Amino acid sequence: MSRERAEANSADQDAERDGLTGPGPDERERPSGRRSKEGVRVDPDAEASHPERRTTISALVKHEPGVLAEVAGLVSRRRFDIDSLTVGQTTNPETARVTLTIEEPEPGVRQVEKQLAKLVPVISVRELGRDAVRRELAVLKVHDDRPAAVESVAEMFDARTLDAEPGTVTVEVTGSSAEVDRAIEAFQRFGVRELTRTGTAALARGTEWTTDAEAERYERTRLRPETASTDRATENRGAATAPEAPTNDD
Amino acid sequence: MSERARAAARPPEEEGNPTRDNDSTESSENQTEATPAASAGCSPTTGADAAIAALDAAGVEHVFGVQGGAIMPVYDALAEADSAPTHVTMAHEQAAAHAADAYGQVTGEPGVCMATSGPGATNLVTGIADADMDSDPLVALTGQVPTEFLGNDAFQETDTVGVTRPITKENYVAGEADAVGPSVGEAVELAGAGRPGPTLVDLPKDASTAEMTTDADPDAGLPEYYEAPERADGPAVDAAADALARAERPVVLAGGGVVKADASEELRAFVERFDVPVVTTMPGIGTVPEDDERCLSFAGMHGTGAANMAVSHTDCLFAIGTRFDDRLTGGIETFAPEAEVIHADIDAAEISKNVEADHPLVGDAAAVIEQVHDALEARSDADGHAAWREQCREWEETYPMTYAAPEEEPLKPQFVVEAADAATDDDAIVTTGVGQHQMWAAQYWTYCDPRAWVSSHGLGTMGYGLPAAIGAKVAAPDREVVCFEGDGSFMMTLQELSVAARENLDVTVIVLNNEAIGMVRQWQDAFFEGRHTASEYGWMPEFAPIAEAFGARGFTLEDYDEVADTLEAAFTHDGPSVVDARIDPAENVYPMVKSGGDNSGFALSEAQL
Repeated sequence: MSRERAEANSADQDAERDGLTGPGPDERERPSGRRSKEGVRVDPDAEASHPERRTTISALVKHEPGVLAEVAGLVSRRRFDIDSLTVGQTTNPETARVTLTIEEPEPGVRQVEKQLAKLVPVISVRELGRDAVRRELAVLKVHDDRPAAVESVAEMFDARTLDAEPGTVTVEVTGSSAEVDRAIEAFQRFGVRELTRTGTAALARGTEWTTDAEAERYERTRLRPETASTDRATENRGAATAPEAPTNDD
Repeated sequence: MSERARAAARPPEEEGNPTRDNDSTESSENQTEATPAASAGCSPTTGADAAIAALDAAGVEHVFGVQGGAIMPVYDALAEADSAPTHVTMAHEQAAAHAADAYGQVTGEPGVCMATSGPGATNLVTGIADADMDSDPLVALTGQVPTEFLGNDAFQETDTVGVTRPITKENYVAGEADAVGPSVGEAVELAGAGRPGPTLVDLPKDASTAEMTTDADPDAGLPEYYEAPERADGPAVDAAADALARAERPVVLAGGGVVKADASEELRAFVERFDVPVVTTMPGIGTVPEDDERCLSFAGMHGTGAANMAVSHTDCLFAIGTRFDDRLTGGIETFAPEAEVIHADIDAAEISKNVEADHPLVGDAAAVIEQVHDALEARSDADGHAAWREQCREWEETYPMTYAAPEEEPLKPQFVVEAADAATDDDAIVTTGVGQHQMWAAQYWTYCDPRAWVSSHGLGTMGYGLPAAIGAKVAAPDREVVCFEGDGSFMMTLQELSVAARENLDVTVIVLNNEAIGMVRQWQDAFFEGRHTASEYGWMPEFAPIAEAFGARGFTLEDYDEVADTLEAAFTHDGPSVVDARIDPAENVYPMVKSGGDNSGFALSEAQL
């Protein structure tokens, strides 16, 4: 737009010295559709909603410094709602497994998967099915005022007694997240002095692989025994570099 | 020594990972003639030599940086190498990062910046974050205290990889001499691969000075497991083509990804063949010529009325290489609310991040546009949007980007931008800072080529303009480089005039000076009842004498009848110049969509906000 043209229009500009010409927002044809907060186009008659769901995401990552920080940083920066995050070793000393329990609506679950996959040290990521094997561990220190009762509750929850001294009994409970919840609840009656709990360790059920990358590696080592022996050599070296112990980092 | 560095230094036969092709890694180990040592003409002996050799082997021609204690060995190697990138010494590390970023934007190749540990590295952070937000290929090399001091809070020690982890694609600590070359090589490759972005290599001083124990192995491949998608899934392409074929009101939304993928040609062919109106994002400016009848210019907060109307009313939005930033979408609930969305992006994580994609096309923009083009060609009812095109044209007429410029009133910034556009070559590069001047430069200059608009979009870094102009001029010495700055924005990095003067870089800075942080003041008028807290300076130093003192030419511009001559004098001066354009302080940027507002409800004046 040349200045000359602009000046020709300057008469109608006077009314709106501080702005441009044209019909205002109320005089325009406006679209009637809407999207949800998640950016999903909605049918006004049947507004789509995405309820949160709790699920487990498993990622195979390169076993190197900084990976845990990278994953934890991603989760906190993008404000993903996680219940637990664990990191631990796999059959291959060069890789580690990160397991996240998250509570997100469907688009959020997909984002967690894709954002994780984008991190350079992440090898593969997937959401585990509902039938996946999931375990957690809790260690509780309870008062020993009623040892017999403690023992029977321990039995009920398949808890192992790790330590019993005058004053306290320390027990270990493993199970699904809900089972561990119930066990802790049951031990509350004795007075829990201290409690520590891990996040979820999970594997896909049966012959299904937890991550594709592991399936490929397994097939390769099975078909090529010489690679397998190299792996064993590497594993020895791996032991010296002290794999990270499972941690609950959230 | 990091695991990564160890992995890089480890012979490939120890590998037990699943996807690596053992044959190719073994053969690359034997290709000694391809090592940086060979291409650099002499054998790198220290880690620092290896860093320079790796840059050289990757084809890096320029490095922007600032010296300092922990990076000294690398600088020394730069001087000693037979073949090495040319170094441009900047005044401040932030400017080194911005210059490298702009260099990357203009060339499409990673720009490289270099700084020492501690404050050197933290000063780079703004520039790295800027590159991360705008997906610009950038490599940062930072010095670090010797490994034996790491973690002890030594002099000028900062946890640089910790600080930059969330704003880099990946970063590296090259903990020993043998790891330096592979880390630097990989960092350069990765910065430009797939969706571009910044990478960083932290170089502890002992790793830089130590002798290497192995022959240099450039290993400049991408990281293991890294894959960039190329072509989108066939069925998804077909579904997208079906959606476009049945659409009555299609719009192409071209983002910065089209620039990154050098897909302008494919885009232009597509738009022309199927006669589809096209709207760009701000980073996508220039992907289609703005004087093309199908181009409605850019959409979003300060986009044109026609672009925002088209995006609001379309029934099929073909979005390419955009991350649906909130400045583009406004409130997500009202963004293209009736559109079936086809979203092409090389980063799968962008799909349905902000706006749900009905048809996700994960791949390289050029390849995907061609795929959709071919698929649509095979459908008989692909074109014929005459009524819709006419509607868009009407919107352009209804919402013109006019402005009044009466002689008796102070200079209008829009007029200065148009005059500068008229006075420069068609292939001139425009860089900007951030604020009102940036919006006027976007709105009133007519961009006809990609990589001619170089700005800070996602991060919105005030002060980006001048260092970016330096980077752009180094990248394209034969093209005119015009930098628009605001007075507030210019004050943040104007020390870089010393660099432009020393290097005799012919860049012209036009300061649209309203003695205020104008954009903030505009928001205060609209949303804070006109309380101009800390936004009006009331006093500004004289920029023309400042420019002269730095060794540049300085001009002051106040009247309409001086505009043409003053700009001419500044543009013809062989060297840097600064034009201090005293603009009407009352002028504000319109159209404007309120933050989180409805794009179709853009305000044409403050009263409508």
